[in-house]
Amino acid sequence: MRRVGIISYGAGNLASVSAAFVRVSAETVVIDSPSNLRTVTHIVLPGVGAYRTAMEILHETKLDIEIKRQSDRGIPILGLCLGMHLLTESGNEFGTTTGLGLIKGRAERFQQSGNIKIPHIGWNTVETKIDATLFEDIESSSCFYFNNSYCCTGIAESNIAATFNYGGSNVAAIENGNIFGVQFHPEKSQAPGLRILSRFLSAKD
Amino acid sequence: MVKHRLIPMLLFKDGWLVRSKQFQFFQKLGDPHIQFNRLISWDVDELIYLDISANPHMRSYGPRGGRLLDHLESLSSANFGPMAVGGGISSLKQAENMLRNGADRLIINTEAHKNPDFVTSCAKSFGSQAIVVSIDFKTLENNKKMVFTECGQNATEMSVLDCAKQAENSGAGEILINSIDKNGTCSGYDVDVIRSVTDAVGISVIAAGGAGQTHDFISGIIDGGASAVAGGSIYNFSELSYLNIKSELLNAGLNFRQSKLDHVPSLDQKH
Repeated sequence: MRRVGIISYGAGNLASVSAAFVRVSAETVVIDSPSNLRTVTHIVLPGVGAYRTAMEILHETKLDIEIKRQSDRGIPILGLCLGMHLLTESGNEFGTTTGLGLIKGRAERFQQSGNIKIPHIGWNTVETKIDATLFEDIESSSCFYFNNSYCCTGIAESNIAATFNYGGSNVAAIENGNIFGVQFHPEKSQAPGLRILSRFLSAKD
Repeated sequence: MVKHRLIPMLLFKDGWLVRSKQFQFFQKLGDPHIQFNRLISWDVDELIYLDISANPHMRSYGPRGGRLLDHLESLSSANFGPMAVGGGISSLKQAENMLRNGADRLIINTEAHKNPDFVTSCAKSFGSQAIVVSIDFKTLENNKKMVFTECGQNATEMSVLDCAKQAENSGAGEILINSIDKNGTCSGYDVDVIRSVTDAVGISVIAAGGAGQTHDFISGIIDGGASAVAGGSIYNFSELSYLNIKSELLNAGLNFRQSKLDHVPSLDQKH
């Protein structure tokens, strides 16, 4: 049985992330301290909140250290939206904050270009790389639900698993070994989203 | 590019799902879960659920009792698409409760206009992307478009445009604009007002109030410049309305996402 640890950092809809994993046959547990993180097979960083507050909570609870330790052991980690941003080295929401640094890159506000609206809200098509683990069952140009003002930049080309277009090409998903992140909300992207979660669960089979 | 959204809007009033006409006449439609479940099986782009009870913080005695908040967890447990929820949100605690129980985004009306700093605190706590400011307006005899709060009961001194700009400056991520005169009439959106708002702000706008046929949605997008188009009455009484409208919008060449009946359950076939 896969046991998914969903990291809690205050605000955020953990229930919908949990319901989506249960729907794809995983057991879930909400994690708010390092000790209960040691019993999980997969780690998820969910996606609603603010960068600085989230990192402060991870630091105070020492979950940041334990997440990195589990990552070194090869436990698959998936960041959703803000959770993906936290995997990078830093974020610039309300000042610069150091991130978990599990993948090279940073989170920055969308560049205002043309007449695009920020936040980026709604369904957008995602172009996937052929060898992307998370997108194996997904047709390229499938739609996913986005809801973000910030985006990952400075990601190594080899770590970009998918892109989306919004005032230019942006990173939709990252993959590096056991580290995964998606800019959209798979738990809110209907069937294609649930398939992504399912793919993540089989990352360690 | 990001797709336009076609958004059914559900109204919860004192324990019932209701249909509203001009914020004055409310017709009880039945159990607040049944229509919700029907819509999510239609693979909708997003749902809006508003609690318009006189006091959304008080328990009620409709078919299932309770407040909308009490139903959220059970409603959202089977919904793998986005849902925006509102009704009487006036404190961070209430906002957090809504999010925790399954709302992806919060719709704030009266408190946003009384106290714009509240929108700012919500945006700081949950991010602008989670905050929708809702503006209900009426056209007065002098043709002024004025904002009403408290479910249309309270006239303010604010114009729609001032209110929209204030919402953007306070940190709202999106604006929901609803014409009280048009609500429930199925006579088309007040496209001029929608256009004036979409021209004035840099955030996206959801048009509401008056959609009665596919053409109204097209007009909301093309003439109004809205990013998303919402409707209530149009979904309540016709068979497969959502899917039919969606295909008509796609046939008209608009940038919408395709929706499939029973989209999520088809997942089982893959495993």
